[in-house]
Amino acid sequence: MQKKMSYSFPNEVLEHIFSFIQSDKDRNAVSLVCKSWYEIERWCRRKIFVGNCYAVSPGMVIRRFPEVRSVELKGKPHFADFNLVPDGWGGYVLPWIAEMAGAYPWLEEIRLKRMVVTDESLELIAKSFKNFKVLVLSTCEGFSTDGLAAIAASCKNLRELNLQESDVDDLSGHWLSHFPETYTSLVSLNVSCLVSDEVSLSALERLVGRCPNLRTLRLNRAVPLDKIANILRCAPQLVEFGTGTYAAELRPDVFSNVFSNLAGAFSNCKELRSLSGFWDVVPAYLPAIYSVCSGLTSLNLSYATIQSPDLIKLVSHCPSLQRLLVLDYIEDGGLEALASSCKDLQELRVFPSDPFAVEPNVSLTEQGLVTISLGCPKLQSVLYFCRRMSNAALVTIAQNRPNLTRFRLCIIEPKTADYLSLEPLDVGFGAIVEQCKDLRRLSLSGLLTDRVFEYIGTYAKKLEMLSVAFAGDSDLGLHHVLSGCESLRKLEIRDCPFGDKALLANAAKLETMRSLWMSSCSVSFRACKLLGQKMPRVNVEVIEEREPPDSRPESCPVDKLYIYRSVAGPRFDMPPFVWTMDEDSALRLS
Amino acid sequence: MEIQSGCSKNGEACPRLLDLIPQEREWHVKREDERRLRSSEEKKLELRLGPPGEDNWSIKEATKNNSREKDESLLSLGYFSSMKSNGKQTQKFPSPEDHPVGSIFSSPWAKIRQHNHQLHTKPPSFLQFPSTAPQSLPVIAKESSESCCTKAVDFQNAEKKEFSPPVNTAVAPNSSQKRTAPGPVVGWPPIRSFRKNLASSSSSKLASESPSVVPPKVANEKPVAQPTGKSLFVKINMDGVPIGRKVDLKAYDSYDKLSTAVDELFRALLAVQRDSSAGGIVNKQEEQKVIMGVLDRSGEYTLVYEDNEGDRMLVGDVPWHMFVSTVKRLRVLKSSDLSALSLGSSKQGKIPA
Repeated sequence: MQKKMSYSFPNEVLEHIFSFIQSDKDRNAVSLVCKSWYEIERWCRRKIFVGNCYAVSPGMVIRRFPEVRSVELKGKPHFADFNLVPDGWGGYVLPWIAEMAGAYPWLEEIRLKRMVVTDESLELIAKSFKNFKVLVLSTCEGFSTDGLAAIAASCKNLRELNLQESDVDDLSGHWLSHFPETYTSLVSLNVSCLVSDEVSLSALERLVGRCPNLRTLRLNRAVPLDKIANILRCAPQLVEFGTGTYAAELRPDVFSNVFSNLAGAFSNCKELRSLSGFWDVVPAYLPAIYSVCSGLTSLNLSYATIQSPDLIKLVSHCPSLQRLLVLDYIEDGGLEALASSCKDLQELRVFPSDPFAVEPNVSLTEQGLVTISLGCPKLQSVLYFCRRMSNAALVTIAQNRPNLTRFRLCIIEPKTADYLSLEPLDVGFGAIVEQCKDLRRLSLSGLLTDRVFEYIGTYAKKLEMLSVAFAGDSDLGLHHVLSGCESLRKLEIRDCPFGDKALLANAAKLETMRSLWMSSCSVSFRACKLLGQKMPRVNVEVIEEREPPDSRPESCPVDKLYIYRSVAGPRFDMPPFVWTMDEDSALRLS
Repeated sequence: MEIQSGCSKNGEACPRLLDLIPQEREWHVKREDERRLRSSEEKKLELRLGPPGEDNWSIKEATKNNSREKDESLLSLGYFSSMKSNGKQTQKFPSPEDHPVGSIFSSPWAKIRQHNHQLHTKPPSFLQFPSTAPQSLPVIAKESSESCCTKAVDFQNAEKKEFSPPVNTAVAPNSSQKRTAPGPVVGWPPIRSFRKNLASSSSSKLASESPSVVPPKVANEKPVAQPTGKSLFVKINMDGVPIGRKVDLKAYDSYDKLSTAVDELFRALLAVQRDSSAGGIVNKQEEQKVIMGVLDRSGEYTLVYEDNEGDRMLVGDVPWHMFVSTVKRLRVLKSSDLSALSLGSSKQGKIPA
């Protein structure tokens, strides 16, 4: 006699087993096994990740998962980071907070990326969730320090407040004082994006002093260097620290005082693994951190406008470095030093110090990246801005580092050819996708024809995100990508001659992806309408800031196009310059 | 949905829309040329990449007078059929199996070795558009962006003939530091705003330090604390609108232009607000009251700003360039609230914001 599985385990046992399954993919798989597993799983899912806040409505999430404790939402498309998405586009979190306030009184964590958060939303969070612990606002905007004050005042169990790169209306530093004197549970505070010069140092020091579990503290630029020592002495247990401005006077009496104080404070921090900040660096003060350098795994020097020799000195003290963000002042020579000192390096980001200069202002070329690819066997993730590249270099990099998972190359001048052969860089990027079989993210630049997309479609089977600019010759390029990249989730394209054909021929692909962004391409308004009509589970949005798209011929290309799959239907919070191509509007406009 | 020109309801001249009409006619002409150019290029490509049987790959039907059915068939063929299951007839694109890209590490690699040892001056055959240099901006992108979506930047004038002096040369007087790089491409290079102007902003900080501080070598080039980058975004809030916006002051060269821009910006916002509060779907074409007279203080709203000392000032009192160098944020206030604030001009006493 065979007993069915579902009769032999009580629900509580299954629930307990499911609680060990944290990954969303696995949870989703569990919920598809059978109806009873679906039911059990939905009641015990505690964490939700919504990669596109418009893909689903808050009501739908709440109906299916009634006991959620942690929510992560993402709003605007990635190109919003570069001012390609006009202000007012959307991504408002308030509707979500409002519904969750009623449905999830025990919500503990909210993580948002590229969303518009208002003081009203923050106040609602502060008063609705009694056990609120984690607030991460990454690249968000729309709120001020008043909203933060509300959070500080009400959330007695707050562990983490992280404003990572958000645009905050910094009205005053006094919001920090709203943390009550009885509040001691802070673990992580990142306010590095706050811009006002006012900062309440005494409130900060008191806060830091009374929170024994503080592990992460990222200060903003306004905190002067000579105050850092005091703060560090209050929190020697820090694991991650971000300085403010790293400049102070060089007059001998001042210098020796500040320096020894600083060096002493740093040497007390035995657990320190990550440093950031470093605005306005005065190199003479850098040796103050040498005592912690040997243990550093992450170093963000991307604001440090210091020259290569100082950078070389610094990185050669950091043999355990796994992650480095730096400006191109490091130059090829500095990268060579990095390659020989830091064998554990996994992630490198090199930013341009002077992105708008036509002539190179530093001696950083493709050679630096080649050297790193050779010297750092664990290198997985690269973001590199430079002014010249060659196919030979890319092929070498690909051969050296087949374990790359993220490769983002930005050759600053659009459509720059291989500087040696004057050919397109198709073959070089082709080598990257052919060799790096686990490549998940790729950003292209330089002179590229449809050929590179052929390579990508053929080889980049694990590619999830692709960013393309000023590349390709025809729809064939886009077609290769849409038809070949099986794992593609996000595709963002700007200024490429891709039109209707590839998009329409691969329309079904759009339902398998999170989103597609195309701006300054050649997709016609007619094609957009057609897609909107034919694909009910995909939202097609046209962005036109100058005039309505139907005031011109249908064959005219749209300025910007954002297509994303959604089970929530078209949204209704669009600004005047966003037109949705749903079934109804397509009929009305024709 | 009725599409109406927003301005006609008011009976007012709307220079923006009127100006676009002659351009639109030009655009039609340009588009035709563009298409002809493109179809011949497509054919060139097709000969290189596909076997001879692939000549159903043509862009002609996409150009003009597409009937609706044609669209549907184009869509449905691609949509419902997979590349493998249908015959060649319905295939619009060559599939990878027809002419697989060789591994990079066979013949193309050999070619690269050759190229390493010689410098080609013959332009590569991939480039189909006449261009002054391999690095120039693409013609098509220029045209389509120019005509159909008028941008503030005029690409045609963005020649790469002007060069700015390299940043790390010896200190030069202020006037020669003016950036003369080619016209800016929006959002390129792809870096976040807080990563721009790093060299100049670091010097601005140091300018306020005591003279004995040794500034970094590069920052020395910009003795005046002023962002000299391509844009200067300042936040602008309006009474009654919860979410502020940003405007790029570098995009304007006079108070009039700024005023017009502010007008357009908030006109749209007020519309959305009004409609969403009414609970209906936004009717984008409905016109609302114009925010007139933000500068001459005769209208319902007035434009004020906060300067680098935190004081609130009326916009328009000081010369434009002085305004740009001291403004930190903007605000659109109801004029009725003004008298309560007693704002000062730059000469008289100022009230802290």
